[in-house]
Formats: sequence, structure tokens, C-alpha cells
Amino acid sequence: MAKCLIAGLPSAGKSTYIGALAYLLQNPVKGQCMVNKENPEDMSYLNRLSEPWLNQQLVDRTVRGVVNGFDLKLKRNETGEEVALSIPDIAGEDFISVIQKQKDVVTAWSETTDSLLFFINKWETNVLAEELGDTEPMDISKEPPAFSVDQMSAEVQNVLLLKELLNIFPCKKIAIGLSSWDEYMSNYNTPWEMIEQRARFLFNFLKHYYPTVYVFGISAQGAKYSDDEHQAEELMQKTLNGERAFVVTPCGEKVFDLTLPLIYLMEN
Amino acid sequence: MDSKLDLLKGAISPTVQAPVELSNIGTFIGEAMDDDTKINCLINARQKPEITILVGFAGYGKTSFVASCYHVLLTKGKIGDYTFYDSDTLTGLERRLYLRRASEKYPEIIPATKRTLRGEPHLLTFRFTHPNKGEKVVVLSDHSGEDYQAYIDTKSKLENDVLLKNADRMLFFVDCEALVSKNVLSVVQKYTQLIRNMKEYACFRTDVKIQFLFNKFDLVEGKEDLYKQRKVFFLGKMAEILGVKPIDNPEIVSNQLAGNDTIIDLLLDIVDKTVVFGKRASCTDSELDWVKKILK
Repeated sequence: MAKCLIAGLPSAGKSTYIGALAYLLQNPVKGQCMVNKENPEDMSYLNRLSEPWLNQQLVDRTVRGVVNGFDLKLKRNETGEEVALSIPDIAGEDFISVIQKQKDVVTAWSETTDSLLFFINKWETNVLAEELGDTEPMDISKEPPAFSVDQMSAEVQNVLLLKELLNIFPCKKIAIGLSSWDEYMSNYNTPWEMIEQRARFLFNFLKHYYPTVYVFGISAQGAKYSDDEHQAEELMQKTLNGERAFVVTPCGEKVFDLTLPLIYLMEN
Repeated sequence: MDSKLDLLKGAISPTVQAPVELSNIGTFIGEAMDDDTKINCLINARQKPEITILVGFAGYGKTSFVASCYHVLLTKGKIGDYTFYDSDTLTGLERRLYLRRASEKYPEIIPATKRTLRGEPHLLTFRFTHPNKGEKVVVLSDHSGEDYQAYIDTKSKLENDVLLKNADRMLFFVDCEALVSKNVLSVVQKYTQLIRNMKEYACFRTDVKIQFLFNKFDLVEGKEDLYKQRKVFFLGKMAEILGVKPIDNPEIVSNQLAGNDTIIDLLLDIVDKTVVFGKRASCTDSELDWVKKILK
């Protein structure tokens, strides 16, 4: 059975992806590369992730310290080949713990993995105070908060986590998904372009060590949720038509198929 | 396109080569390194790391300087034609950036808190690649000011500082505000003692580049003439003790990047010119052995 570690910082879009994927594997869109061969015996957790996706609600935070693993029996549409895939849903906070040298939860899922599917959805970089125009002193009698992972720039958190995960799991294939692509697609032609412009150091890091890494944009939700009834109706129609969740390939092509990154990761 | 699988063509990667991860002490991965011998792990097949030591007393601006350099590299991704692609000590650098931000917001932050925020380990690395010159590892040593005070108070402590004795470049930070105040003689005396001790313990390699950085230059406003006199006086004293006249001693404001190219120019000089001055641009097998033998 192929193993794929789905990783990322908190709110990177891991659970939303799994929720959307679980639904789409059962209700494939036209031309989808992979579908369910048969449902897992226990679908309760996957259903808990799929339901809010269908209802256009944010997925509840994954409980930290617990690994929910799924063994999926899939079938490739093009070849008919059957594929067994094991993936976990691990809380982003547990990946923060990896940066804090606590890898127990992550390694509790497995000691090895064949591939890494890494999600990024955090881009701000802490800059020097004067460049923020933020020079007003706080209450100077107080001591500053202790240094923590939150004080690091998001870009560096992602690089540190990637480095450590690949140190723990020297896997063969890596794919990096840039979440909420629906919010960025008008600004960038390709996912690589977004990394280059918004996270230059991460771009340099990836180009140096992993120049052929599969970088894709992803909108598992299809759009930012809102209370607007018109938008909700539109998103529901898109769900029915198989045109809601989408992936943008490294070349910038939009495809309504969330299994595409998995196909890449499982390709020999 | 025949199939969506075509989208994957050309994207299949060979087995991924993960960067080397050094196990540093501290709360997080990627902390600064505490052990000089870990420099040996940074050696690649072609070049030894280039070592720049930041020397200065508490509050002289060494950590702010590192934070500013790191900020430039992180946001621009490069300096000159050198692409900044990795560091073994990202957390150590982020700590300094945080301390830099915290110092702006909490100006009365006490030295002990600064040390805690910054962490004790002092070695920071920057990995670059250049289109023609290949890869380069630059090491900055950012000891606390208290450590240098300790070298004055107990000179034998210098005995164990092997990195200092193998530095390619030393940047001595001078507090301009102190220089134009009544404390000027104390500044001169501290550096006099420190440099004498360093000489006694053979801390200056023959081809080490020595520079004095006159930091907090913005704070001499209105006292420019006095500053010029004191700078000449100070450098004269240092030349006497060193036995060589230090050249290229710029004014900087280490906690201010906006509209200030001096730090960027200096950073580029550190990255590009350190070994040229040290005449150790290429690294032969014997030099690799040298590093391995010395730093143990």
C-alpha cells in the first residue's frame, strides 16, 4: 500500500482537501483520474470532513495529538489499475510540534512514507517594525512575549517543517499545494509564480533542493464561503456539475480533479 | 492534450535529496549552533565556510546587524548575484529578527531577556549559490556582548575560541553614541584590553580582514565634528594596538534599513569578498584538512 503524508501548518487546507476528496472519490467529476473502488469500512471520520464541505461550512479544527488514518482502495480510470493508498489527517498544531522537536504524533501514523503532499496557506512575512510603520512603543514596562513558532515568518515555518519532515521521511516524491487558489488566481499565472513573488526564500529553497517538485494551486472549497445566498446556490450548482473544487497545474491549467496531485505522487 | 496525465509529464522528479539537517541544541529545530566544531559539517566538496566574527559589547548592535542582514536576504532572496537558498540556523536568525522587533517595541528590555529571546548559541549560517562561483556557506558568529566582556575580564577564556582564531573577517562594532559622550575613554579602554588579549592568544590570522563598524551613526546628529575627531582618535589607538591600520570602517545604523544602503553594501562585501581578502578563495584538500583538524 502506498503511503502519502498530508502535511502543513494549521489552516493550510489539509482537512478541507481530504473532505472534498472523500466526496469526489465517491461522486467523481467528468474525467477524474481516480475514483473509489470501494469505500473504507469505517467512513465516519471521512464523512465528518465531507459534510461541512457539502454544506459550505469550514471544517472543524482537527484534534491535535490524534492521528486519523485512512486506507483507501482506489481505481485509476484510465488504466483500471487498482491502487491502495494510506493517508492521515493530522492537526496543523502537531506539525508545529515537529518544529519544536516533537515528532511523536507524526511518526505515530507511520515511520515511513512514499510521498509528501504539503499544503501552504499562509504567506505573511514578519518584517522589521519600521517598515510596517509600526514604531509606537507598547507598554515599555512590560517584557516582550517569549519567542515561539508564531513569531517566525510563515515562509520560514514552512521551510523548517519541510526540512524536518523530509529528514524524518526521506520520501521519493513531493507535491506542494497552494491553498485558496481561487483568491490568488487573478494575480498569478502559475503556482510557481506566486511562490516566487510572495515567498522568495521558499522559492529559492525549493528550486535548489527540489527543482522538479510538483507545485499546484488548489481550491478545495471552490470559493471563500459567505452568507450570500446567491453565491451559496452558485457553489451548490458547481458541486453538482463537478466544477467546484479545482487544481491548477504547475503550468497554470485549471482542472476539476483533486486526485491529480495524488496521481503524480503515486506515479513511478 | 490527450489526457490529464500529460500534465504530469516532465514533472516526475528523481529521488529527492533532502538538505542536511544539523542537530542543534535548543527548543526548536534550526537553532543557532553552539559548537564551533559543527562548522566542519558545513564543508562541501569545494569550499570551506567563510567565517565572519561580529565583535562588540552589549548594546553595540551586533544582533540588530544580523537581523537586518537576514531580513534583506529573506525578503529579496539574494544579495548581488548570490541567491540565498538555505540556512542551517533559520530559527537562530528568526530569534534575532524577533529580538530586533521586540527591542523596537520594548525599548527598556533588560539584557537577560534579550539573551533569552536570542538564545545562547552564536553561530549562524547562510547558504548561497552564484551562477559562476557556485555554492558558498557564510558563517556569522554573533556572541553576546557579555562574552566579549568575559574575554576582557578573564583572558584565558580566549584559549578555547577556535573559531575566533580561524576567522576570515572580524567586524568590531563601535557605539557612536558612546564615542561622542564622556564614555569615550571607556570604549577605547575596553577594545584596547580585548584586542591585547586577543593578540596574546593569537586570535588574529595573518590574512584576517579587520574592520570597525561605527554603529548608531544616527545618534551623533549635532555632534558631527566631535564624532570625526573621536573616530580618528579611536582608530589611531586601535592601529597602535593591532600593529596595522584598519581600512574601510563605515558608519552604519544597524537597526535601520530604510534608505540605508550601507548595510546592504557591507553584506554583499561579506558574502562576495571575505575570502578574496583572506586569499583563500579556493579550497584545496589540505585546507579542508586544516579546518577539520583545527576545529575539533
